[in-house]
Amino acid sequence: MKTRMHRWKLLFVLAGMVSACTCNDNTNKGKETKSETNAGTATQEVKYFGKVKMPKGNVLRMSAGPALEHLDPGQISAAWESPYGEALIEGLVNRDLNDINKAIPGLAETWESTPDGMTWTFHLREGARWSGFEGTVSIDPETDKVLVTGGPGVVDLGEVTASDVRYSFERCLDPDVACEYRVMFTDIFFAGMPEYNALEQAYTAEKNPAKKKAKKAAWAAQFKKMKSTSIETPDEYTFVLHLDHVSSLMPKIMSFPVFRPVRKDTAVKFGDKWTRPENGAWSGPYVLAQSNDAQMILVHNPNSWWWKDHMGFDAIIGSTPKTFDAYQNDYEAGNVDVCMVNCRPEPKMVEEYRDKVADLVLFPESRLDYVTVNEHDPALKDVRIRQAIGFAINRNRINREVHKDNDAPSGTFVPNGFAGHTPGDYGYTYDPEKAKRLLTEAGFAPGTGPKIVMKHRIASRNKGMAEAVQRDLQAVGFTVELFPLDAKVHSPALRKGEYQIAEAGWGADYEDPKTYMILAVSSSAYNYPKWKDPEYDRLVEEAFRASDPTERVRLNRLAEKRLLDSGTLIPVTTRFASMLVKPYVEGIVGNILDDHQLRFVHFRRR
Amino acid sequence: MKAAIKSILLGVVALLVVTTITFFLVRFAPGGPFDRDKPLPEVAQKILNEKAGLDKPMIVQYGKFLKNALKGDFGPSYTDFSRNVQDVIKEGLPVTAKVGGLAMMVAIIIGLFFAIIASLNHSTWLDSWITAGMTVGIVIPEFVIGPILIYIFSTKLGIFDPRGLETPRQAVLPVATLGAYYIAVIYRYTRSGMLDVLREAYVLTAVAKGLSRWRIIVIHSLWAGLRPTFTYTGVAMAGIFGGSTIVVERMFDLPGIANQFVDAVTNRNYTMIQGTTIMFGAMIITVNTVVEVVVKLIDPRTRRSS
Repeated sequence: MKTRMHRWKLLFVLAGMVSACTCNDNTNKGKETKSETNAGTATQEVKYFGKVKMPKGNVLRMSAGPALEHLDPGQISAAWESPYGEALIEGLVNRDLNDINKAIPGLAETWESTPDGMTWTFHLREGARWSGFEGTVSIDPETDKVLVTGGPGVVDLGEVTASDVRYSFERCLDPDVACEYRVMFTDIFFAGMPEYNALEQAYTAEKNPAKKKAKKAAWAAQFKKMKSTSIETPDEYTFVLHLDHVSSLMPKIMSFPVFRPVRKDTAVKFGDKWTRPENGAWSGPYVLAQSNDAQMILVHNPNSWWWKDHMGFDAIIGSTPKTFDAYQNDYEAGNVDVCMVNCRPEPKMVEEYRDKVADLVLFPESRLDYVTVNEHDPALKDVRIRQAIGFAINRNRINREVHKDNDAPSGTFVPNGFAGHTPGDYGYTYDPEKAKRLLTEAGFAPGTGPKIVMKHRIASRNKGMAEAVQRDLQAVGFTVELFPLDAKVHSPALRKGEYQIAEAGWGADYEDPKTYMILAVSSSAYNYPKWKDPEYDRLVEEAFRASDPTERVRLNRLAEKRLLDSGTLIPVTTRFASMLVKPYVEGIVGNILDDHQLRFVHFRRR
Repeated sequence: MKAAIKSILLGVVALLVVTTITFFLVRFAPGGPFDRDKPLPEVAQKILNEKAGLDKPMIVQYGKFLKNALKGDFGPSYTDFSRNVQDVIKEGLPVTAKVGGLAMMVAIIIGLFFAIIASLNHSTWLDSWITAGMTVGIVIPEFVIGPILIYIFSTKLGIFDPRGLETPRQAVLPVATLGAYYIAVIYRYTRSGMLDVLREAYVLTAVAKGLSRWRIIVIHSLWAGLRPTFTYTGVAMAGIFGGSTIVVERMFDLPGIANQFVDAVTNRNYTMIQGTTIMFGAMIITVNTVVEVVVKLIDPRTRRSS
């Protein structure tokens, strides 16, 4: 009896301990105190999502997303590759921390253009060096000391020269190289690009093998010609670019990954493997010391001119988690410092903690979610049916229910205010009565509409949007069947035009409306409905070339209205990005491109 | 010896069949390794397909794959051409082995300990409570146990870390999550085996002779009672190397081989899928063969019956 009583007492005590631990208000955890963070005097209690523990050493622990496919700047295409790429390899220019539209010196110390803006000359700085890494790096978990064994660590590999820059540009234009962002050369009106593009398209479209070979040769010949007409290197510290037309993107676009130079000797010698830590040559503030499936370690590059005037880290551990929940748990536990880009909080978490915790950073992003409508499908040939889709969608409700009020409803294509663009008096609003009227005018009985299939990706965000669109369309008379697809299958299906309507997304690459407009240009690979409007193409091109900002807005508005009136692209929402950043981390600033430069980041200490 | 060789040869044939089926199945699945959410330009995709040899007829691709696989070369990872598949596997295998090995070790120690206690106190309240407690490990799946442990011991108490495997603080939760099921199963097998043995006439004779409890358990009963446990442990280890750690690896973001395999399938990374399939198959065959041989060595009855 006595023993039984003791057993029950023990059980009650254990149950009490567990419930005491679990009854706390979640937002009280990680409460900042002066002693924990050394972050200065705080007269008001500040709440954080994660535990705030000042790191012992000078090592940043962060994640921007899953495993990288490329560190080669000529191949970087995923948003999460960008922060590391920028830290390892500089462009001729960098971007200002607080104004991504403003170019600051990078590998080029100075630059100038001819008065007509057609020729740009970049002068490489003397302190621009290539660095590699020899040895094995580890980080002491207790002290955060960076330990290098088996080698000297960071080694100097020589000067960055104009030959390296030339090689890098030519490599991206080489017809035998798979360069995803070759289109950027078109966007800066690189001299010879119109002919180059025409020859590339002719080659791509050709089915006859013999003719295809001839077209490839013509394309390669144009490339060879451009090597001598578009680029000049009068000496090893001067790089000259010739343009076809004036480009408003110069010179800031030179910070974009595809334009960042690689070391010619290294890339030629090691081929695909040049980005391995043991082979790499890096010009940025950090050097790649370790890279495996789980993480990368970037170490401070003492050879970089950047450190003359800036602070940074001894090392950056960039994790590439396969499960972001696990990484966020680690952030919550206080073991990591930053979760950003593709390792971002889920909408539900943002909804729960928005405005309640200081380390959850929200900012408008350039990503647009939209519905693409295939005008070539018999059920959707009538423009009134397509426009009815646009007016049937309740964007506010989608934002509220699916995105938890984290995004911005959008009835126009280019986000309002993006790069100075403001829409005109057009666009889609939620008007189900108008949608029904359009369907009736198209020949359907009142309250009815066509039967269509909507393809969507299986991720929860995309599925949620598709379900909401289905509900809205069915409310006005459409019959909509959802067709979920893996992301790997979804894009190819859209590209081949194998769909009626589908959800899709698009993110800007640079700060100019053309980065959106190009989506619907006749020759664009991303023009899924294959909508062809020569007037639209002309307006987009003219807008991009216009030097007067007012004229650019006017032309872009005309183009945007034509696109929206066609009903082939129905905007739904533009995103707000989120990230978790510990209060002692400085230099990470939300921006519309969600592009972050690790060179500016450091710990804030007293 | 003959049985071991026969087992290995059959295993190799099975491996060849599985590899071949996998090779063709993944290529027939919709979507390819260079299909992306944001599609590549057509020319870029063509160049990458040529680089990966995917423009060749499938049978030619298969021949090349087999020829290289026999040399241990599975080719470059299609999601990162700078890395070879075998190098990626070499990174992942120790992680899986570590979490699986630790979980199994803990499971054996705890499972055996409680099984001995329960079997010696058979039909008492102690036996009932222990058995009921062990049922939790079998009934509640890893994807429920793991988050509960993370919430209590990491988020609330801050005792352990919720991610990783490198330090003891990181390793406790994934090992506990994976081990919970194995503890329960080893407990049940061992308890059952011990109960069978404790009823044997020779054990009753040992008791009647006045031998110490310790001697009766350890010398006369435990070894024989462990046979089903040992066989199960071998099968479980084969399962660990065959991908049963996937839930724990995903939950705690461990860069093990199971996690790599799932990623490879999602990304249609053909070379990685093929490499990990061969690796899984080889590990299962190896472990099963070792278990078979060792069981025959330690239990003469199996040698006589075969």
